[in-house]
Formats: sequence, C-alpha cells, structure tokens
Amino acid sequence: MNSSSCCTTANQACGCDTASQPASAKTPTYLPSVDVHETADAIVITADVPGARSDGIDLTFEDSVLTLRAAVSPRKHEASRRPAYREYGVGDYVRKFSVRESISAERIGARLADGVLTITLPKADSVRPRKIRIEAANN
Amino acid sequence: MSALCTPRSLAFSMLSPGSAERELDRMVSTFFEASPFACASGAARNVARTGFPPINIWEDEHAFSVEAELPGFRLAELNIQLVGNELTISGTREIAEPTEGRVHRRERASGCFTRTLRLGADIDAEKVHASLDSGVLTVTLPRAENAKPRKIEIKPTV
Repeated sequence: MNSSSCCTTANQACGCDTASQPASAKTPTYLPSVDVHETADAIVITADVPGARSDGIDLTFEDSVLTLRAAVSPRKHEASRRPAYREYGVGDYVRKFSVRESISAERIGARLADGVLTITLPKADSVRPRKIRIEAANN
Repeated sequence: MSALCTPRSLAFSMLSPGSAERELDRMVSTFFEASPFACASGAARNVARTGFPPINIWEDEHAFSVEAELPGFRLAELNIQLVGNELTISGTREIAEPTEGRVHRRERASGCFTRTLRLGADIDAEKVHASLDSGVLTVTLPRAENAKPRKIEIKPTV
C-alpha cells in the first residue's frame, strides 16, 4: 500500500469560540473533530457533528478535495431563554480534506447517526492492492 | 468507575487559554462550579479547562436548559443525576480500534467523563427531564416554586 497516502486536513474553518472568521462571514462556522482511517479498499472519515441533521449535510468532492458542510439550526430554547453560560458556539460545521489517493467519486457514501457522520471514500480499482498470481513453471 | 476508563483524548480544546476564557471562568465561579473529569484512571490530563463535554446553559424565570454536545451517545449510555441543585452528567464513549489498515487522524474523544455543575437556584427535581437529539443532550430543570421570582406588592400606607 502506498504509504503516507490519504488525507491531509485543510483547516479552513474556524474551530474556536473567538471566531477569526473573515468579516464577510455572517455566522462563525466550526471545525468538526474527525477520525480518519484507511483500509485497503477505502478511506473512512468519522466526524462529530452534533446538532446536524441528514438533510443539512452537504458533501462535495472536487479536484481531490472533499468538502463537508453540516448545517446546524439554532436551538429552540435560544428564542425563549437567555444565555447564562457558554462554553461552545453553535453553528454550521465546515471542513475540507485533500485526498491524495485515487477515489471512486461516484461511490462515496455517508451515514449520519446520533450526530456522528461516517463518510466512506472507496478507492479506485487502479490503486487497490492486487494479488498477483504466480504461475508455476513446469520444467 | 472501573479501570475501563482509559480516556484516549478527553481534551476538547474548544477554547484556547485567553482573556475570553478567563472572562468565562469568572462567570462560572459566580454561577456554578464546574469540575473537570473525575475518571477513575485518575491520570491528571492536561484537558481544556472547560472539560468534556462542553456545556451551554440558558435560563429564564421558570427553568434552566443545560445543553451538552455528546455525539455518538445514546441516552441509555448517559447517567444524569441531580442532588440538590447539583447536576452531574457522566458516561462513556467507546471508539473501537480498527483491526486493519492505518489510522491517519484521531481527534474524537473517547473514554469516560463526569461533569458536575451547580445551578444558581433550587430545582424542582420531579420535573427535570432530559432529551438527546442528534448528539445534543438537553436537560431542562424547572426552578422550584420558592426559587421563582415573585412580584412583591407594595401596599400604600393609609
């Protein structure tokens, strides 16, 4: 297997409360925590996106960059109650991954359960390890 | 808790040490006391001062809403306890180690956690309820009758 392949993460979204976002951005976005795991057949990205629903998730794969966006709507008690204490901000998640391995883009799959998004990027057949059969020579 | 508690990385460094955080700390000390992990493994980890999970609180004259981000948890895996006006949330998230292949990145927290916070008013324990939706836990804690604001009638002296 191609060593040091796979993913580098481009930290293009802001992951902290004191948003260092460009002034044009209306609301801050947050970096989801991720695990990235690679097997012979696929790269699997597991992202914590609490508060996101499946209809708010937008995944695009273009020029070897996977972009994950997950929309998070404001909490319903935000309207009626006033904030008393805050350790984290609530907003959309954005994160980009540049993928060096050849990926079969049309087979990328994703699954959301309990605020955890699992994205499977199957490797293209050309980069999957192949077992070479050795024929015995009859001599 | 048992030796099962071997936190891999319980630090969620959502907040970097800075003036904003000190500001928050000051708020906390006047409002409630948050204690970081008390995992049995006991290793004093250099965790973010907020601890895991990060918590937000809303309030009005009727109730508090305590919210925590707990992706991947089910309600049955969480233990939510109220003693007096002290709320404790604890639980364990196990992330299975992959048996094959290679791990490139590991940021998601796993292991056990406990957080205790003291609310600034008496709570009507009978009416506390918790819900877990898409990895967000919300505990609603109605104030006890005696802790609700009361309008004091001022009677004119005759």
